[in-house]
Amino acid sequence: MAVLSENKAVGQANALRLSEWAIETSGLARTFGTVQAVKGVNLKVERGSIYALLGPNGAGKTTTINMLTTLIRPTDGWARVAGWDVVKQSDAVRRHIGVTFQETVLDKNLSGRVALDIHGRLYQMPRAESKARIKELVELVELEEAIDRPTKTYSGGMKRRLELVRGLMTRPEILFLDEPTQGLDPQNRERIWLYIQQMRREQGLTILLTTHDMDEAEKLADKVSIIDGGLIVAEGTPATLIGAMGADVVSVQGVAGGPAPAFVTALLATSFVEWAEAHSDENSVSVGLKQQAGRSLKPIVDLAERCGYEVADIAISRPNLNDVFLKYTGRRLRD
Amino acid sequence: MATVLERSRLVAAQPKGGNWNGLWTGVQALWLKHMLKFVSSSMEITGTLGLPILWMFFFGLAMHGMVSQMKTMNINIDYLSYITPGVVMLTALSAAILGGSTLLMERVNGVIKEYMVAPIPRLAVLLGTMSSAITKAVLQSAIILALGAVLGGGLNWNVLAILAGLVITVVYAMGFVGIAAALASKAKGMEGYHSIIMIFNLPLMFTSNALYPIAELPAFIKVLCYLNPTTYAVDATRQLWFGGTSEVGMLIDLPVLLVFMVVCVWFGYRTFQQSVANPAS
Repeated sequence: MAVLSENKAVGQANALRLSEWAIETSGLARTFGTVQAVKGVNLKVERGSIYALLGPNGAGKTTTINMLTTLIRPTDGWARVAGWDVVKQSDAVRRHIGVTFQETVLDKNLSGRVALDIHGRLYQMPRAESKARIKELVELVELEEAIDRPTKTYSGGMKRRLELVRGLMTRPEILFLDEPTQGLDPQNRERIWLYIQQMRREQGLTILLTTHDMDEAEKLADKVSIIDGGLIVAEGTPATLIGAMGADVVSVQGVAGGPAPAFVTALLATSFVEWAEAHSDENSVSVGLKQQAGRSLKPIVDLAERCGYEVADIAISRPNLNDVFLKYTGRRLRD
Repeated sequence: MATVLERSRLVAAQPKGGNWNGLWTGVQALWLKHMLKFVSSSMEITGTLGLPILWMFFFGLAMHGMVSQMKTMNINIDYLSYITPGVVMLTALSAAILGGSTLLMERVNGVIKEYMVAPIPRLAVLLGTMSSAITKAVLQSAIILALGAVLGGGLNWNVLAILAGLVITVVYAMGFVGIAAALASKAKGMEGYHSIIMIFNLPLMFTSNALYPIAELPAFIKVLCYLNPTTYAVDATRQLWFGGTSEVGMLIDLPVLLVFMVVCVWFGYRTFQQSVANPAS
């Protein structure tokens, strides 16, 4: 009888638990006083995928991560992480996630090994398992030499690597990485990317990362959400987002005070332009083309002349996530 | 097979033995971490022990000879033994407040987030900090007591009396750990916090019976004396450790100290809870 009712309880819990998404949110929002940091985010992150939240500083990325990792409560909407509700089942959520925070949170006088060991203790990891796991992870990120030294002797890259594996210590299902390569030099950055890809491959992890680095999102993520002003303004794989931008992008640099809006209107009326946008702060107009740029340059310059828009320079580029970002937010993403 | 897997995951989702187990693991892990940090940083140890040792060596030894000739001052034990309980309390107070500042440091540099996303109750963070702060306070107080015993030579070697005195030190220090936790939950940075330690430290010693009998004091200092928990802790431990004459009496000392502890710990707990509920503020 007891077994039966236990099975029933397990069955019910499984029904709740077996969500096909690793992370699912609906209308997730958070207000601080009068400031709406996150205004209703809907996310669906597939199990086993790397998902990037891309946005400028202050876009609401960290607040979103803080809600998903149960650090703060949402003021509206709901979120399920690993199938559990972040408010009602926060303890279960915590048991299944690993988190690497934006800022380095290491005690400088303690060694890397102690940092990992204490982390294991916080999660009630059995001692033997914790020891074995530390050995395995330290090898993964090549910190064998440094692991018994105080972390104050570590370089920025080493600290980041240590924090990365600390998040993995308890074999989480989902790993949250808040700006994992912020402040690192290009070499260290690429190394971290390699580890992240390796971790996903070997451990079958789902990874949600935030970044304001286009390259990072493009290189790592299966799916990207562009977040701006607390809202998701576009979502898709990097390839589809970039593909939707058209064939080539032409940037027309004008002089200050040029009639950019009239130029944009004229461009949109032509048959070869997919989209066009003026950036008044830079005196430039971006043009997304339906065909290769070579055949469109002359018509564009002619059109500019007819509109009285004086052309100072012209640049052609294959579209990238930067252009995607520009298209959806009207701004460039800067560090 | 799938069911078994899912089921084992479900079991893993629930804390073993409910929240109490998580609380206990959390407190243990934090205590261990804070103690490891304490041992690896000589700053905190010398910072706490330096001042009391100066008091014992310079003030204590210098006044020792003078006071023994002042027949009018109603002191039945040698002066070094007389001030030892007060200096012990000063040590416990500094250690408690510095230990409590671990919480502030971890809040300011973000280390606390590691605990907040771990499957331990928030209370474990507070209790872990408090328990390590108390441990540090007792260890360092015991060192000063030993120093007082060596320099003054008047210690009552009754183990029970020594332990009872240390328990009183713990109760006294707990109160300040509570205050420290409250300040650490509110303070914006380390600077303000340290100026508060300065405010607590010496004035609490001067407005108590730590260095002179209450009877010798002007009326307004007497009033401050009776408002100061240090007076009661010193009165009780001086009696227990050195057989000094009591000016207040154990029957008043103990309840006052207990009330002080409970109120301050409750205050620390409340303030901490509020700060955890609104981590961004």
